[in-house]
Amino acid sequence: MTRTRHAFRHFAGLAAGTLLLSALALPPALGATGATFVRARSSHGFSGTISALKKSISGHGMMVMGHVNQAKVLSMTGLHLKGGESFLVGNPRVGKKLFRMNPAVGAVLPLRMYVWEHGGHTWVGYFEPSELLDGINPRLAKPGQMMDKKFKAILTDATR
Amino acid sequence: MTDTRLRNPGELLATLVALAAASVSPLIFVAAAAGYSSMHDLGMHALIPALAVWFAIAVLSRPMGWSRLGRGLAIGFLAGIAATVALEIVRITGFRAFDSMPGSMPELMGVLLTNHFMLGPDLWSNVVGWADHFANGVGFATIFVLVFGRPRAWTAIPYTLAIAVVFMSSPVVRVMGAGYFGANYDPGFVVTVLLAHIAFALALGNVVARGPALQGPIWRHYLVPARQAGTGVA
Repeated sequence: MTRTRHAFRHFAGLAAGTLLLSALALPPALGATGATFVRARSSHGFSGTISALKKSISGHGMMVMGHVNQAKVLSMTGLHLKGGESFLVGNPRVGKKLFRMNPAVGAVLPLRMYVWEHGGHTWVGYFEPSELLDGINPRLAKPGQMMDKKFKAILTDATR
Repeated sequence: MTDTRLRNPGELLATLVALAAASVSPLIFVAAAAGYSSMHDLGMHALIPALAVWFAIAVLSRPMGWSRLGRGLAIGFLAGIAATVALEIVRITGFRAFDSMPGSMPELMGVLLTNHFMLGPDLWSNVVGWADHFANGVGFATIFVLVFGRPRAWTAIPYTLAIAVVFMSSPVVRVMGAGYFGANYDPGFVVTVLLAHIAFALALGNVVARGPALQGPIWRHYLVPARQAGTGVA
């Protein structure tokens, strides 16, 4: 009986250790798409964050090309989220350049920034542009890295 | 074989146009769900003209002396409003209390008609969606009255159950994610849809049965034996 219990403990310890090592080995925010999900907690409320994000997008030379209010759309199904809105963010000049390089970039552009409320806090997040573009063609990774910097700056300003 | 003649062909033609106009509102959601066009475009180019024609026929019926048609449109309007309220009591209960519907149909129709889906429902889209939902109800009631006249109240039940079956096998339920006859959603879906349509039928049948008498079903009123055609006897 004692031997059985000891063997079980040994197995449980091994399993827990394996799980912990696996968890540590995985990048924490790597999504199913293979792109890193970048997120930041905002110091503003939901509507304040939306307003700050719009200003930040504009301040960094980008524009909001589309808007999806997922929380409101989902309210039609009976699910009431406290907040969930996406903004399609782009820039005609950058878009023109990238579409010329490869018309398939339309699968990714305009890029999407999502604002949501969870656990009493407002969050802003997006998938790293360079990794999304790299998925289409590795040649697009370099202009994508410029977008990474731009999006990081937009995120920082909007959530500060 | 009895020789038949058309009586009052002008009124019959106006009745057929009114029937076509009344059927546009229920059909556009199905056409949009089947991918023929967007609900917004169908609303602009089919629904609004159909409502205008419907209204014009109702206004013209009195000066033109189309008594059956005029009374049918008035009863269809009242019965359609009452029947849609009855249907909504069941549908809202099913949706809110039992989660038996994948979404709110009037709100969905509103955001699709106003091309507002991505921003979700607001006051304007809800007004448009509910108006369209009631136009559907009035459309079905008007078709019932104009075709069948004033039959017994229970005859509305097979009529609306047929509508429910067509609805549950239409592309609308597929695009809403419920699947045909709610196969991908919940057994409560079929129950809610059938009960809502029975409630619609009970209100429709009762209002029509209490309304002013219409002279028989459409085929008996306008197609008369040749010997009666000249006498004006139905």
